[in-house]
Amino acid sequence: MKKDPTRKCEIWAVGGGKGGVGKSFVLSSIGMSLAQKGKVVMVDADLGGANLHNFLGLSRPSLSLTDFFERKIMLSDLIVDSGIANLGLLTGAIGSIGAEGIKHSQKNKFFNHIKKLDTDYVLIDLGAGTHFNTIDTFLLAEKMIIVITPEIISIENMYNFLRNVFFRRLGVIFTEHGYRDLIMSTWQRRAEYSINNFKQLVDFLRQQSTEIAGIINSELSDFKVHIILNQARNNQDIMIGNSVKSICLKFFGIHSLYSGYVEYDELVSRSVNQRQAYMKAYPLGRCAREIERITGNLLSGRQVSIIK
Amino acid sequence: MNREDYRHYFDILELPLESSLADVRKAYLFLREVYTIPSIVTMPVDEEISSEQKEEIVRQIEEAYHGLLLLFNEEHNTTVEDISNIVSGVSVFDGAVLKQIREKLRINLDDMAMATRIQQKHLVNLESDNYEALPVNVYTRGFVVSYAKYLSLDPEMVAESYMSKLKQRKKTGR
Ligand SMILES: Nc1ncnc2c1ncn2[C@@H]1O[C@H](COP(=O)(O)OP(=O)(O)O)[C@@H](O)[C@H]1O
Ligand SMILES: [Mg+2]
Repeated sequence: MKKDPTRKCEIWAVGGGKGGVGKSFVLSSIGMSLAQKGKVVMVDADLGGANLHNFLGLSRPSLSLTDFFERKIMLSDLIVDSGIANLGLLTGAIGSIGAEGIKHSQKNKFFNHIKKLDTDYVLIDLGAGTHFNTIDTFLLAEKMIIVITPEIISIENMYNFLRNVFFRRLGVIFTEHGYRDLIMSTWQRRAEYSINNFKQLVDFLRQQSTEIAGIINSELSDFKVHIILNQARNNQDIMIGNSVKSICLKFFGIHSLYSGYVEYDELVSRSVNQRQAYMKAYPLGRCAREIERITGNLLSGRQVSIIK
Repeated sequence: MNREDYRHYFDILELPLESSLADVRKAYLFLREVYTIPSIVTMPVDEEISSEQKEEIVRQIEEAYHGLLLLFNEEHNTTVEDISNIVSGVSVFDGAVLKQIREKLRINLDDMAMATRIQQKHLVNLESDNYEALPVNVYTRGFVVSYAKYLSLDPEMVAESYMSKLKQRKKTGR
């Protein structure tokens, strides 16, 4: 996304349709790795089921985003020490509100406060699902990261999430240009226009006018997601990241970077149960090395390629 | 002629403009597999992407690959022959023939060993028809399949041919 000059920090967000793929584990580990390079605040925006603290080896902090939404306490006053240098945590609320429960005005205020946090990086962990509040938070990020696993459900969810995210963003831009509801109304008449999929919808919209085509082309060329494959068990699993990247391009016209993979490692749940952060407890573990590499790739824009 | 004129083909194979012939071949084999063999990455969109659309993508991949082979011919002033030309006329795929094809395609053993994850010594034994040094038949067959795939040959046909000669020789004790 475009950089706002008043913004102090760079925002990274992890999303993806499915729960349980390892978004929170991956994001928290990247946060720990990134904290060696700059100041990081991690935000647990999984408003229904906050659990990021577990991956840092912490028990639930008493302060949470609920205090921001309900008691109007400043975000910066809610950041708790993570026990790791340079890394603060803004924990989510459990049970009380979900992504659906946030009003428009609250959301804007939340976004504005996040952008003004005095830190180098803000890492946002999102819940599962494609609620528009979740998607809007994802779109706030300069680096949009999607975590998948080598399983068909996760990949199906990922495609779905990605298309929702892109259309949400396109919808906002269209509205700014006076084409409110263009996407929705076209999609509702898809049978009439013989539109069967995302790409055909995009191509149909492009044909409406040169202005619309221009908007779509510029949004598609700006739009870029980072893919991380988690819980890989063999080389074939690792290649799935490459395949998904190609499918996104050839079937949807969406560019992505395959930023890296993390192997399946039983030590992940062991460290959680022992209230330890994996990166701290097993700094030489497989996942730790892979997370370091991913963090480097996210910073530099490098990726895993089939040609090495 | 320069690479910029071939950008479209590099884009289709999702490669940077400075890629080598080995890169082009790897990308081609990889993409061809993604778009011809159903897998967990394509199954979720099976309903919405018609078979014509998929065939069109495969056609573009083929076209890009063959177009780029011409570019490499030009750059090296030699002929990287189309695989089908080499293969027609071969009756038995023994080690010597496989080696000859590999060399014509200018693929070195290092790349091959890395991509197929077969130890180089096995590849050498395979190519020199050194049957005694090869592992038991099921493994050897697996090697031949991977080897053939990497050269874009029909793996079943090649393995069939290679193994029948191997079995014959082993039986008759050479
Ligand atoms: N690479 C991995 N190896 C083994 N277990 C993992 C790995 N990544 C995540 N897990 C386990 O999977 C479960 C879900 O992870 P979590 O990060 O909470 O997913 P999400 O945030 O996507 O819902 C956790 O119990 C975690 O311990
Ligand atoms: Mg989570």
